[in-house]
Amino acid sequence: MLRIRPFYKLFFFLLVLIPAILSRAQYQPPQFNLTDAGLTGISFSNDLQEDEERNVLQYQYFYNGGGVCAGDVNNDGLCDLFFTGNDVSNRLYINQGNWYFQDVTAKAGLTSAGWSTGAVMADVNDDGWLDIYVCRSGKYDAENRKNLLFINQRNNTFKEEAARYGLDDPAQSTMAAFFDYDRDGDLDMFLLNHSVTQYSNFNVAELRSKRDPMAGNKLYRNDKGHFTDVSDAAGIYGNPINFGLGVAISDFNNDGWPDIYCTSDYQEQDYLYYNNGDGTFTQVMQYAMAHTSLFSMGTDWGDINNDGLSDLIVADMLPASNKRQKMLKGPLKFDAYQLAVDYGFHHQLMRNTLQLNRANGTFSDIGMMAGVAATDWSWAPLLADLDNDGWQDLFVTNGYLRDFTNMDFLKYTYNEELDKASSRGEEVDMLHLVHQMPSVKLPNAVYHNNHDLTFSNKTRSWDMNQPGFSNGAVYADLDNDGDLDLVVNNLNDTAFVYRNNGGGGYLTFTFDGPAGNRFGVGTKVTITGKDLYIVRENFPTRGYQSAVESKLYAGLGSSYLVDVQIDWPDGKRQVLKQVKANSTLTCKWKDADDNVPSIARTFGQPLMEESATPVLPATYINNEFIDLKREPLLTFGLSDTGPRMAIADVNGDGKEDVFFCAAKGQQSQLYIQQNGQLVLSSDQPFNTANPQDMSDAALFDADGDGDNDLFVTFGGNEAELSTGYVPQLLLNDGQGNFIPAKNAFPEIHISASCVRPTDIDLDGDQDVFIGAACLPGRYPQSGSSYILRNEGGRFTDVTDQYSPLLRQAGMVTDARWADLNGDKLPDLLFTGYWMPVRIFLQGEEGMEEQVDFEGMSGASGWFSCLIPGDVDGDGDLDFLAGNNGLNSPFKASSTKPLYLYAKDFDNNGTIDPIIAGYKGDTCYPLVSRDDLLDQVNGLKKRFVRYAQYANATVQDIFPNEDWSSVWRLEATNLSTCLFINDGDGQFHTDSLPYEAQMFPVRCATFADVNGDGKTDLILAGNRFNVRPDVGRMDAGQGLLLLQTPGGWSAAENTESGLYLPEEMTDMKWLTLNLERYLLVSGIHQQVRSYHIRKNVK
Amino acid sequence: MNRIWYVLLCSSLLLAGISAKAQNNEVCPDQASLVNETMNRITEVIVHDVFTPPVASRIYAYTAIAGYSAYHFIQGETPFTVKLNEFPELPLSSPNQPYCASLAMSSAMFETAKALLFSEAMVDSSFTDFTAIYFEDKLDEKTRQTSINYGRFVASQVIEWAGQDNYRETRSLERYTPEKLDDSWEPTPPDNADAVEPYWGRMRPFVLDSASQCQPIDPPAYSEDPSSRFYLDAMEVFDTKTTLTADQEATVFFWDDNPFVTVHTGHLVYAKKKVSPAGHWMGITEIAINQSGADLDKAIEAYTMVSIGLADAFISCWEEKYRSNLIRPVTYINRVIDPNWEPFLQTPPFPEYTSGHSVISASASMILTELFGDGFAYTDDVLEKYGQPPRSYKSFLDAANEAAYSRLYGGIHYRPAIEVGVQQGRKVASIIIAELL
Repeated sequence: MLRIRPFYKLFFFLLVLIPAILSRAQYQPPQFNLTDAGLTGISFSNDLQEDEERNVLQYQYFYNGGGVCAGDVNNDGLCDLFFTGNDVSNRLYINQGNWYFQDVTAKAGLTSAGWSTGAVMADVNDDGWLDIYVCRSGKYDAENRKNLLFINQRNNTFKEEAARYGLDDPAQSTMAAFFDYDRDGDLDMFLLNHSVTQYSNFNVAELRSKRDPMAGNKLYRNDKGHFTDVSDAAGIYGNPINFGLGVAISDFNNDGWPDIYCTSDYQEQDYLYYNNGDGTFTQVMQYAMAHTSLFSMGTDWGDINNDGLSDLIVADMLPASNKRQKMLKGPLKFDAYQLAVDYGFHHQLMRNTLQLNRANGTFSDIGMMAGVAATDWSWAPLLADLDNDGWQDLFVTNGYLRDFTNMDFLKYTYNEELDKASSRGEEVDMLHLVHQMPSVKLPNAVYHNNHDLTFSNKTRSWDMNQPGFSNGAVYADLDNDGDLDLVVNNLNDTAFVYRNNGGGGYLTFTFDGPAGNRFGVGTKVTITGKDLYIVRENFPTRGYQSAVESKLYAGLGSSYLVDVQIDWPDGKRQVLKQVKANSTLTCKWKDADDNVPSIARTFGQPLMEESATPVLPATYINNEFIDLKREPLLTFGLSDTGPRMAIADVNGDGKEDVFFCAAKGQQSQLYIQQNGQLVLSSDQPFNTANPQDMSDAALFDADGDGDNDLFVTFGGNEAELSTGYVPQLLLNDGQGNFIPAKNAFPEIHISASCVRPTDIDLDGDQDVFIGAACLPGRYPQSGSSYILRNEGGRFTDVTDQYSPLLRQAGMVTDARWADLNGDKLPDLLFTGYWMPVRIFLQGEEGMEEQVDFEGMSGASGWFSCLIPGDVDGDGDLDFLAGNNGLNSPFKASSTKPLYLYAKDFDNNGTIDPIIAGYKGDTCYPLVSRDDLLDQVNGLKKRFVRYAQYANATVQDIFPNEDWSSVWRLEATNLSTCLFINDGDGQFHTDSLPYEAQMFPVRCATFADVNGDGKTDLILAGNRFNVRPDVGRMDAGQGLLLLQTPGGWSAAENTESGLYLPEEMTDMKWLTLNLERYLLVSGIHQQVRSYHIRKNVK
Repeated sequence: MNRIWYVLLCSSLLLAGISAKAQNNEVCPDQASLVNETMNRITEVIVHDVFTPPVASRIYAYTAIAGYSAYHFIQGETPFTVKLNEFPELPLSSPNQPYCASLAMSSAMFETAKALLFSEAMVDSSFTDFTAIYFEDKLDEKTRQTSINYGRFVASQVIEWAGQDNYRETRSLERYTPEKLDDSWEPTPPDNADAVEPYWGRMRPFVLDSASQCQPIDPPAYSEDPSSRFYLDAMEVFDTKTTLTADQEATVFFWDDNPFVTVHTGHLVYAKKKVSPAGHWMGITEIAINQSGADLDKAIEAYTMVSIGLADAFISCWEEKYRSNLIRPVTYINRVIDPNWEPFLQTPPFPEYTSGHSVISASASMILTELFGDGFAYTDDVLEKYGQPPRSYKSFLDAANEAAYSRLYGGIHYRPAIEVGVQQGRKVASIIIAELL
């Protein structure tokens, strides 16, 4: 028998162990695994029974599902779970440890009747034990709808005492949030309710002032243990058109007082209430957010960019796939959208909105850019750091029992069933019909925070793609291991309990608060460390009909030692230094003090300051023109060229004067610098209203007499080319008086975007390039751009001589002259829609297009401006090309471009422009069936059903088309780009932070704003005249990008001092009284002026 | 062009070596129910495909005209349709071989409908089914083909003529934008749908010399003053809803004739489809035909006259609607009287004045009276399929009158739109009768 010697034993041991270690290192369990209900004991299933009396036709929120609330009801240190049931009883599961839970519902006295919706745990009677408040709704009588308050008897039983506390509200309630709004030390309550009747008229002003006690939201003040409805006095709307589905409490404007965001389904808008600090609230939505979700469902807040400010997510019902989008989308209904806005509803777009806090009390929706806008019929969004990397990720539940959003059902199914039924001599049974609708379970969605304002879908890789009809959900640390597990209430299915297998450093906070608020609701925790800044607030109500534990969680990534600050609602503070990761801190109110210095970040002094009185007293009044009425398939209007300014000395006094271009129907104006002010010139170049939008102006010496003459172009998209789109030259008499030049150039009709003078042939006079925009009414056709050569004050068309390609240059938006190859001859750069930045190098024989594949001309986009500046101080010009940005439904890359197919497909005299983009690996038209059929009538016979259209590609739609006769334009990059000049006409792209991609950039300038000797960049833009199904692009507020050694960093608006939330189209510097002012002009705006503050550090 | 086609058609028939013969009277069915059945089958597809009321009236008119023209041309007769505006020159004569006029008629009708409807396959299979039932074992193959081809040829000419009525052009005009004046129409709840057919007044009328030939007086001037005529008219609409008798209420739903009523239950939206006003009057025409025992001659004439009366009434009415562009009662009442008021009926998406149903019902009823006599009592069961119990009338004018006032009861029109609308419709009809009969 072989005896194994110790040495060999060790050898064999290692032989076994090493692979084991290796495989362990290689094996990574998925972030989550779904636990087995048989093992956890959590068998809750929100089962629905529909019958003749109780069904979705009789109660429209029948399929809205239940919620979950988490909390330690027996104070044993383990998180227990309470599920609400609609048609079944609510259930309480006590956490026994080791992933085993016991259903104690009956013993605890929590068996319920009626239709429960949301629930929250709060210590309402202030005894240190969590009570459970249950909201109820449904088509029940008021008695069976009253909300319930189960007071914890401290022995695993509860006693219902809502009436005693004044909380037995009979409204149709969705959810409640307990928090101390008046900061008097006890918990007050916001009650979110919903209507059960349909409202379709738009008389908001009338309806808002009404109070419907069953449908309107309410605020209850805690008066020594009894709750009093103070909604009216506090300024909380309680109107009958409210369909509240989500409420978020947070200090959104960072003033120390908790604010309220509540959502509303259907037409009524969401509300954002700022706490005035005196017991009242002010509804600020129209100011604070440029748009919201439309069918707003659940909501949550968090800090997605770790700037210490609360951001917000609202769930809606936009599907992600092409097919589901096409089945859902009907006609555009522009007028209905406009009418709602006119009546006082806010701009509302059907999509999840992710509202980024701009540090100035306002928010910008970046949901499209972040990649989280389309999660189908969604209920609970939850922002939580699921992988403990220090950044909050996003989990969204979704699913709806019946496929309601199906246009074929709307249009055809009912009558087909009617026909069938009548042939049997029966009446059609609508409920039966509803039950025949497809029932499609969908997986929930989980997104990882990329730390840069974007998210990546991890539903599959984190093993969370189990389909279901999921509604309320919470995160909770069920095993006290420092990572967040997820619990989801499902309709007609066992609840999902996901165990988090992740690692990563963490801190968990529990609270030992003062009497009145022992669980520390409203307490804020700030964590600082190396490359780490995390703020969390303890407001348990979150997501949809659900509430998390009164605890806070923070993933710390690789940080091990951090400083922690705890701010209690009463202002007392505690700071803990050098706290070690991976522990639970019990924050005690008695350890906190007054006047403890804060370690929280402060907001710097703004670098720029807006002039109280604008330097240029000009306002751009835009004529109304709805491009979509004439060209119904346009993505955005081309008629609003927006104001441009030309700045130069016109009267020879050495001071800069300003010419301000006005819109169609208005008079453009010349302002003269006089006594340190810009005043209207007594002698105006134009004494009549503009025939079209004056799209650009240039002041330069055209006739060689030493003064600046005025060259203007007209543009826009509103009328026939023959009606006033004629560039004009006005000659200066040296005193600033302008007289139209006669026969200065050939008759040119051009809807122009820009005029750019330069001495193209180095003969000492100024020649010009005029860029052609879209041919009015003929998108995407464009006319000829022009090069006009100055011959003694007369301009001749030399376009063909320089480059015949300019005759069909496309829809040019901006152009610049620059000597790119060092031969002193100006070279031309221009850009526009559906094109790259194109470079035309001038040589001996005219101009030659240079294709710079790696740099500027490599990628086509929807560029709207091209701004030169020397970023790196190397003496040559770099260029900022303002593009559409990434915060829109459009996505484009070189492998998956966006295409524009255009032709008069049906020969009816109008061009049919069809944009197609990739969904997955297939390129589909983006237009809805109804909108396409309205444009190309002949297709009505082919696509009678939406399902026939849903999967069609452009090629399927026009199967017999001669594609060689169809224009196909392409966009491969929608990012705003900074191109760095490498010499010889070669450029490379410098990467800009995502803040620069949040909005269409339409104007920009280079300047050293923070005085560090490096050139910084200021961007502005936005686009509001966009078709409603694409959605207005309004996330821009003016952006300062500071040049740092590593690249570019976005300054918050509080730091930049900029606030330009409108559609800004031009910015230029002006020197006035030895001060440099940045003038920024926008559509419908007074010209804004900023100067750089001195001595700001 | 027309000539060439006809020569080709004739020569192909001649080449077949068949001698000229009159209609094969022994086997060719000629009961009036053939045209009823044809029209019903076409109505079925119109309802399925969903057309707005004016567009539906256009489909009925061209379909009936094609059937009527084929029916008479094939018998060597000149139909009155040749008097219609810009009607093409069709020097058609009877084919020199056996034919069946009723089949040519139905063939022309199905073929025309197919061009104007969306669901072509539905029309084709319906026609196949129809011929199988009524003609299969009655006609020999050659007679069948001759008749069908003749009908199709007439249809092709009618379709070409229809192609010049401005329908196509009005599809691609600048989309309508509601004006924002106090008295202007704006989209109405619950769907706030876009304005329907804002350029229908630019359509070529069938008989009227222009869309504005029967232009009515202006509606009462807009005012929010409680003593104003406008306010009082609105108050009448408002009050009527509460004082309505059961019978009046029944008329409201009986004459709704909204081809696409959406029902909103939370996020569930579905549409209840039914016949449009023109479809309803086509049905009444069928009742008159059946009850009077009219022969096929009279039956196809009745459909043609009534459908022309309806189509021109729509053109006349729509021209006025977008000329006066008047605010709907629901908008005015919500703004001025009661923000929560809702009409019984869903307000259709176009301006108020004049009432479409009043104009077209007046026109149709006058033509029916001309054809079938005054005091023609009948029971209208057209809408039984859509759940409406039948109603009885003393005369067509009685029915039209009820249809008109039902719009007041339904809360979608003020009284002047109804009363002036009835006058407008009668004027349209009298011009048509004078011109064609």
